[in-house]
Amino acid sequence: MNGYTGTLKWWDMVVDLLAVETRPRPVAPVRPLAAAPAEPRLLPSAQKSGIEKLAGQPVGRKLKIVGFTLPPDIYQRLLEMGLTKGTPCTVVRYAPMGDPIELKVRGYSLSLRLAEAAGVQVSCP
Amino acid sequence: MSLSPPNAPVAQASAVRTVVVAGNPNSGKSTLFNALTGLRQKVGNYPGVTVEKKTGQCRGAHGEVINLIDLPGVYSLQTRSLDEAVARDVLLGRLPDTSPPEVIVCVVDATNLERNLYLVAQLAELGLPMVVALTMVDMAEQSGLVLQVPELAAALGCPVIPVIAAQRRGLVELRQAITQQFDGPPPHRAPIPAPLDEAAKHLGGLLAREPGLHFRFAYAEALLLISATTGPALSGLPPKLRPALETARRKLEAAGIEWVADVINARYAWVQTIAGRVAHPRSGNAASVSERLDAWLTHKFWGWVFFIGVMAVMFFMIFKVAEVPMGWIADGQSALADWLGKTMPAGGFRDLVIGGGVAGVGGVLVFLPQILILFFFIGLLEDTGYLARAAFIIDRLMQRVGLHGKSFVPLLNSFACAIPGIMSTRTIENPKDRLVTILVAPLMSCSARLPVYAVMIAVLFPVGFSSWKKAGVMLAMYLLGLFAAFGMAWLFRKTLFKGEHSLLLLEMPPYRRPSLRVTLARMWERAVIFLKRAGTVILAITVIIWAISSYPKPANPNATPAEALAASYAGKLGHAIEPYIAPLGYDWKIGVGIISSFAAREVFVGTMSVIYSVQDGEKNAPALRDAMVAEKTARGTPVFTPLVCLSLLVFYVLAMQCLSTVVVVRRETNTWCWPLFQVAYMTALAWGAAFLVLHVGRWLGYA
Repeated sequence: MNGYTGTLKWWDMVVDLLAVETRPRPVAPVRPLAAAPAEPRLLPSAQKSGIEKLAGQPVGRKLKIVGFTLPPDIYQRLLEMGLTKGTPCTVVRYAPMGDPIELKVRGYSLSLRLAEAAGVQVSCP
Repeated sequence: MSLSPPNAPVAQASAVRTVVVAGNPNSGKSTLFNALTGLRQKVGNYPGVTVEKKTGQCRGAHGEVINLIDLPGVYSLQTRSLDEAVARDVLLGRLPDTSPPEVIVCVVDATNLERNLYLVAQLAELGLPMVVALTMVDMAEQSGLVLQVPELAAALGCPVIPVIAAQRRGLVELRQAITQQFDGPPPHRAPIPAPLDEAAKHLGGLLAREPGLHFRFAYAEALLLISATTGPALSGLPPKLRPALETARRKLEAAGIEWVADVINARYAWVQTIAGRVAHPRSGNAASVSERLDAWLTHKFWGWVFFIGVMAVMFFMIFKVAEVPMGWIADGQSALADWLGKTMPAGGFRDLVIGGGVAGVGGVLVFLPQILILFFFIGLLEDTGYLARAAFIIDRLMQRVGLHGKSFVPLLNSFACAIPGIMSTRTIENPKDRLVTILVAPLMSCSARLPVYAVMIAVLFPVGFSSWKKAGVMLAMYLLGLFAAFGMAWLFRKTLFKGEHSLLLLEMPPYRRPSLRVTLARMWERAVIFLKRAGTVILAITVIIWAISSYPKPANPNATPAEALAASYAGKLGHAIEPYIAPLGYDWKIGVGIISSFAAREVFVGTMSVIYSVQDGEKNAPALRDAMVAEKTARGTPVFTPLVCLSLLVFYVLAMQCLSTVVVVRRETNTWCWPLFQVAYMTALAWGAAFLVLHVGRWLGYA
């Protein structure tokens, strides 16, 4: 998961578990799978760079919010917390059990669950 | 707008003015409120801690009395939670006992300008004069932000006063600005897209004709209603205007306006330009202290180590350190009872004072050390910002059983006492998440169960058993309560609240150095709330339980206390419930113990010592234990077989035997339906589990 090339040894896993990084890892340039072509393309900007889900984005990558597939009340709450369309954001970390996810947006830290983050569409400008 | 009431400002300098203090959670609002009023008040780092209505007074620049109202910390006035509803209603002058505000002081965290200014933009739509109090200026400067305050004031159209409340800097200027703003001009508003603006003006015109809303707020209320997505947010809409709202929304949709989002987008767009103009980052963004700390404290391994460590220390303090003052209180109580017993003339009144009054007050006070330590820790965790991290770490686990990251602290509180636990569920915004937490909180083994566990375990393993075995049973009881709570929460999510969406949106505030003074002040404030809410109930119930266990007096004046208890209403009740508890292996004497537990579970121990005629059974534990072990049924077999002990332990883990908790749940849910449901399900669960323990045990060949 962290760019190992060789076979994983148990001590590698222990070292990985105990390692503390105080600043984000450099993000590998490889982009994970772009959205499947069947997914609805909501915005013109989506033509240039693929729309992806916020959930599952690598830590430290610069993202931009492009849309939502959430029920209106939750969508509105996210908007009011500052996640309006076009706002840049970054995933700061995932919680120890992988959920929730911590975002940096408009200069502050916001955590939300993967369930909601899966309904936030982002692009990678 | 010069549409304010005609009472002139200068002529009535002595009239009391109302000013509200609004702001985001974590914005330093409560600290500022304390500094302004000198009242002790909650200050927290965990979003949503100030739910109660807080008021205080300060003096304006001309010495006039200003009535300050501290609003709950909210991100928005759009009503989806209790806090937001309260904030909206205070601002719109809807609450009957609160006069409508004349000036809004909006607290803005300078380190988090955009999201804080969003609320300013929304408040500006009310058309009330406003003062912006800019907090955390020092922290913003440390993080390399250069703020241009005059530009900000010009852009917002209202005075902006930088304050450092802890050092009392900027307070004089703030009070001056408030005085100047009485009947001052309203601040600038965010430009709203024309179709939305027209729709809001039209709907506002209709709203202004309805009673109950000041006409100057009609526009703001109309905007809130147009973009409202949920039922509670529409509570301000008179039913006959519902079609007008639907038409307005259809028109907007036709014009290409997304009514859910576009007002918010417009406000944020405005705020973003302002923030971009007035705040300039000076240096590159080096990893801040908070970020470096978070790398450790939310780490996938070290995060758990720290989390478990913090909780362990808290537990140790609550259970071990609190024992010392609890012992003093218990000693003081018995000394007072002895003294009163000697000095007061014998009779019903003396018995009432000792058995009801002293026992009741003592029963309340004995919890105080634990509650104080608990509140101190919670306050410390809130003030430092760790509480949000704890919720972040634990949310995944809690989510799996249908709970919430924010349910963790209330459940943890419930290990000390369910009442503060249930009181602290107010930090959970989603009503359904909150309700599930309240429903399962009393399953956690509170400290009042501890003496019962101790006695029953002593009877279960009388002498010659290793203390490891005893500790193991004790631990098993705690785990049973924990798993029962998780299991029931999961069940409620799957059945009662099926399909209800649970939402976590958690601001992670930067770590801050806690102030001992502030934390202690808040600890005391919460303890006072506990004493008021729960203390009175516990006292009343103790008196009632005392009365039913002392009356009617036995016919024979020389009856032993055990005989007197048997003849009392409580004794009769014990006999009356015997058929229902006999399947669990309990006789009427245990029935009396269970009934007396409704005052507080630990009363069981006292009742048992009376019923088995043990002198001072609370202190003389071995004597009580021996009496209970020696107790025989009519057929000559022991009453307290190991299985009966276990069954009774399980019953005490799961049963809702605390009337004070019932009353507090009634208060927090605002209906009798939920506390009664809770009593019903917990009693059924306790009875069923105790029955299973006894009968499966017998079937397996144990006694």
